[in-house]
Amino acid sequence: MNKPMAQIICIAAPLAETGKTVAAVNLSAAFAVFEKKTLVVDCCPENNCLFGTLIEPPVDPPGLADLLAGEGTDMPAGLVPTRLEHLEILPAGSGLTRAVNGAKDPQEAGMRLCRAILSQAREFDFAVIDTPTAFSTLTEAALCASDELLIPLRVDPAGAEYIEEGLLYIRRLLEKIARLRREGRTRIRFAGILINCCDDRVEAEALLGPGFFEKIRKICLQLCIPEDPRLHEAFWFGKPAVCHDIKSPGACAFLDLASLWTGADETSKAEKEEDLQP
Amino acid sequence: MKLAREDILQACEKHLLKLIVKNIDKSALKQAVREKYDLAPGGEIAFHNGDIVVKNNKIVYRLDFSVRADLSLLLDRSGEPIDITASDNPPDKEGDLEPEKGAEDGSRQIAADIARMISEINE
Repeated sequence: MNKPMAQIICIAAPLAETGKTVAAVNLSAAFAVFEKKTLVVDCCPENNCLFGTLIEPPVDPPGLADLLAGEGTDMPAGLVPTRLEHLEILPAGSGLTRAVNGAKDPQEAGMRLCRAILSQAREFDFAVIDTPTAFSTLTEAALCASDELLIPLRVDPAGAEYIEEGLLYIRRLLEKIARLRREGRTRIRFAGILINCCDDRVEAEALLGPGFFEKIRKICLQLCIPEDPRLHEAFWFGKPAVCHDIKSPGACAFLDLASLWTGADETSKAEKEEDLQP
Repeated sequence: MKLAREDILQACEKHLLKLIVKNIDKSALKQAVREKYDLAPGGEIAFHNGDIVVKNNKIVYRLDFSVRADLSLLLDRSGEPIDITASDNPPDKEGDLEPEKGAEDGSRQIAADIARMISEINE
């Protein structure tokens, strides 16, 4: 029997500093902790997923850019392994933006990129795609390849100041998705807005005001990613939070988030296993 | 020796008070004003100042606000005042004293658009 396709989750947010890369790295790592074969696909030309996952990332590893250029014939072997047995990275490679935008037909290049992601993700249970901040052909390819869209929204005192701007961008992103769906280029569904840098929904409500929060309550996931220094530390040490401090609030939140896809009992199983460690 | 900058602490306190104001139920406050002062506040309540103070040995938040009260002045035909009462004819239009109201409405509209688009996408 053929293995079912990987479930592909696109992390997109057309505002900088909302926590896309941290979410992509840590959600993927949480899937890997649950022994789900997981691929992080880095559509950001800066290759930030590599830096957030590996202490010593390889220099100029092949990636999506090479696949587009037709130089990635041995690509599956070129996926970058991590310290987590079930987690691998497909880097952006060098010059991904140029490879797409410099192509004769950027839209066709975007579709090739989408097919390349789908082909690489085939052997995995989950693939998580990190997208660039600006809405571009790269983001479009990621949206076309994905089954679900997760939008991190930073709701701390600083982020709350820009909430209207953030929502305007989200509306634009959804308009693009609606267009892609009309054109039959994606079947992506909306998983939810992931409230980031905020302990819980009550705090988000306090920061945004109850009248306003009421309007977005239904489209936000129940769980929030708390402001946790361990998450930032882990990223700068080149580790997912589960490898740095699995009991930290940030790591636990990402395990809970992953269990929305893998099944509700997974978190408690992971916690039990952690407790059994000598 | 200072452990923190005074201006930073004041900014933090101001931010806290702003957040509290954001979460005040203004219609309940209008009701309280109506009951306590027999006033019928029209338009929006505008908070303009606040502080953290001690009252009856407890720390409390003092939030200063203004309301536009709709009152009726009664005077007789010779110009003598008879009474000032809460008006039972409030103006049709809600007050425009809150400068951020438009912006807040705009955000709510965008949020409503997003919710509608998402339900269409997930159909």
